[in-house]
Amino acid sequence: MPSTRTRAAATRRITLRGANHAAKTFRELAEKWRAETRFVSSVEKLSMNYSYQRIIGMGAPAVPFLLRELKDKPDNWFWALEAITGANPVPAEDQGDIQKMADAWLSWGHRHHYL
Amino acid sequence: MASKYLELAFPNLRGTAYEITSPSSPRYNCVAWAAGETHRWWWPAPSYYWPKGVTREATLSTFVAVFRSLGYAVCQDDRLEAGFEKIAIYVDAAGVPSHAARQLESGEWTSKLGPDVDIGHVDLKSLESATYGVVSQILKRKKDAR
Repeated sequence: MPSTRTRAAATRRITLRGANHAAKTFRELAEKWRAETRFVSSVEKLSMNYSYQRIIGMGAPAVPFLLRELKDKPDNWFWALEAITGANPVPAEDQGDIQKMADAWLSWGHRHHYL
Repeated sequence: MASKYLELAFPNLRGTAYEITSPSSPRYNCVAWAAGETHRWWWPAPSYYWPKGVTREATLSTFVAVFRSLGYAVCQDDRLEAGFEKIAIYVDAAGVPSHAARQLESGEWTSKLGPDVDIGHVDLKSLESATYGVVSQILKRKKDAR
């Protein structure tokens, strides 16, 4: 019978594999979304894109990835964040200002320990 | 200069004298650019910028209302008219607004392509495509109306 320490190590490996897999899936979906919507202005079309919807379908595990994306290269990830978390930390006066919207979400992410 | 990825999405650009005039940027979109802004994404979706008093709905009539709020009035054609500036609204196959372009003083047009680049294009036909559909409405305003 495996020892407690061996079981814990196996659990960590599985968790890490799961996290790596989620990160890879997110990266692939994000790249596909960018490629497929590179000329799109419509927020509905950006958000209803299949890859974008799959990211929303990843649920809470996608939130840290989305926030890191916003930190590195702000983009239209706000619909996904709102859909997953139910939050909307963007002040009315900053609506549409992608940098300020990203900043608002990053502050929210810190407050909620996603970053 | 020809750009393969643009011509794939917009085949009518082929053989025309279009020009990329900015780097890509997700900070503003075509509606903002047509309205003369480069720091906000204009769209009638929650959390995005949309002028106060205009219904938040992605329809041609609300897009017309946005540009009316900026001093534009509906007009019939895209000809260059001295003393006026014009914008054009494209709609997709479902009649939903997909793009806006602004006329330059030369009579050519400028467009921000979603989060991608700005381009100068010789006419409105250049961007009619599966991506943007067709031009559905032209509006104009006096140049000092801004």
